Amino acid sequence: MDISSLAYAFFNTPGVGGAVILTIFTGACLIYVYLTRWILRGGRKGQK
Amino acid sequence: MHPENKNEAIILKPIHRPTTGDRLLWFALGGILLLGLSAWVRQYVLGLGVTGLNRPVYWGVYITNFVFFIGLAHSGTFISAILRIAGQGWRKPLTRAAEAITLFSLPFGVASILADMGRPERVFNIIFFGRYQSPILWDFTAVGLYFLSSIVFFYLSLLPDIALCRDRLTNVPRWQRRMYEILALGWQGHPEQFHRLEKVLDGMAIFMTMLVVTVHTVVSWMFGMTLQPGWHTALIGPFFLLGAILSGTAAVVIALAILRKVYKLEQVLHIGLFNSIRKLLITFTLGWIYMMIAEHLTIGYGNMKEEMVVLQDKFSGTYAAIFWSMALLVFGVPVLILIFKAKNNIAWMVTASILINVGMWLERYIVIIPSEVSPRLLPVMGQGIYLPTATEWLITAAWFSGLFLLYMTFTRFFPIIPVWETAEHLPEFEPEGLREAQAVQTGD
Repeated sequence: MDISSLAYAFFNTPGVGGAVILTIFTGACLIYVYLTRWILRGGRKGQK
Repeated sequence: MHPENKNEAIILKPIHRPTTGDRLLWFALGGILLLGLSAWVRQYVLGLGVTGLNRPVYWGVYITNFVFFIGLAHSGTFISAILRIAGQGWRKPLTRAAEAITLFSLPFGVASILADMGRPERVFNIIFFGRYQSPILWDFTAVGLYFLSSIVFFYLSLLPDIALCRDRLTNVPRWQRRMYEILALGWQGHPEQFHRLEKVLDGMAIFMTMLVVTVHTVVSWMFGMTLQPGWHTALIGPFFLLGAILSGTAAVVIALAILRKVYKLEQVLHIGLFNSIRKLLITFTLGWIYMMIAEHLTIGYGNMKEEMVVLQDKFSGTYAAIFWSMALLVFGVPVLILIFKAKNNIAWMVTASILINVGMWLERYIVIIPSEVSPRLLPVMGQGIYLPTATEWLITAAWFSGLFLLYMTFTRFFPIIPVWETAEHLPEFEPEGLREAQAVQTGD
């Protein structure tokens, strides 16, 4: 499969967009949870 | 450990048991919200036929509201993130009031889309059958991520103040204390926590700025990517964005003035802040008129048949009254007020801001409806007609009431002025490496 067909499939296949959205939202949630925990850990002994 | 802020008592004062006045206002706003929700249920049962929407006018007041609410939502990010990056310290007392507008407008922007869909459960089709070929999916991604990030940005900057409420407010009901305990996530106010929080907020501010540009550009592309006359222009992205920042900033002025008066926050929300926003508003109104002229001059000069039908409809046809009212409300009158009357005068600032927001709602309407009434394929689609019905107005009133209700409720339970950000002294953070280096130097 060449690159143009891959790009075409990405933009036109039903459901691919939904999967991308879910990935983006899940990734963002994980990053935000990690950042919140990192802030709260500040100043507690034995933890960086 | 909490930051030292001489205005702490003034800022925390509005958080008390709700008064009769509060309850009455909640009751009135809740009533309008329920009325709108019942109109929505009726629309769901009977179908979109109860609205003025028809072929070829598929987007009416609902989508006008959607664009307007998303525009309002830009206020928080503008004041908090963009001015944060620019190092504008004067923004600090305003940040939370502005961010709250962002947070509480976005759900009603999304609700406007759901109302327009007629069958809201079909929103799940985006997940099951979504394709990135469609600008609607771009919009869903950008608005969804913006909403999520706004919640986090808002919550993180609220965290030290929730902990302050947990420790200081001892005369509130038990459930309220418990709520503060849970939401504070065990915040201790350690200097390193503050240091880390500032670092994360600085980083997020850059990301939020990118998001805010993306969101309104993508919202505008829902229109711009079609071939409809009046919409298919590269200028529509920046034009929408500038309009959003203008209406968002004007909304912040209205909110601040009400908060200042009702909660007696004159000492914290001093007149100098309003004067700073006044300069921004003058700049944005001038930018808006530049975009307006550039947009219409380009279309008019091109003299393309389909475009001219819409343009003439706006300038001298069916929509002329709305178009020229909009121009006066967003630019003509406010710019005169802001330049000649509003300096050191909050009442005039609020007047100009209300006019700007009414005008911006009309602007969204005038961008959407005339293009749909006279589509590019006029001979095929036929001349459209659109008159919003009571159902649409009721749902519109409900969404605005909902926004006020959420905002008002929030200010009764959380400090609307950030105590830690406006503090004179934050707990000082000393990195471990620095402490060790100082110990070596002093020979300890």
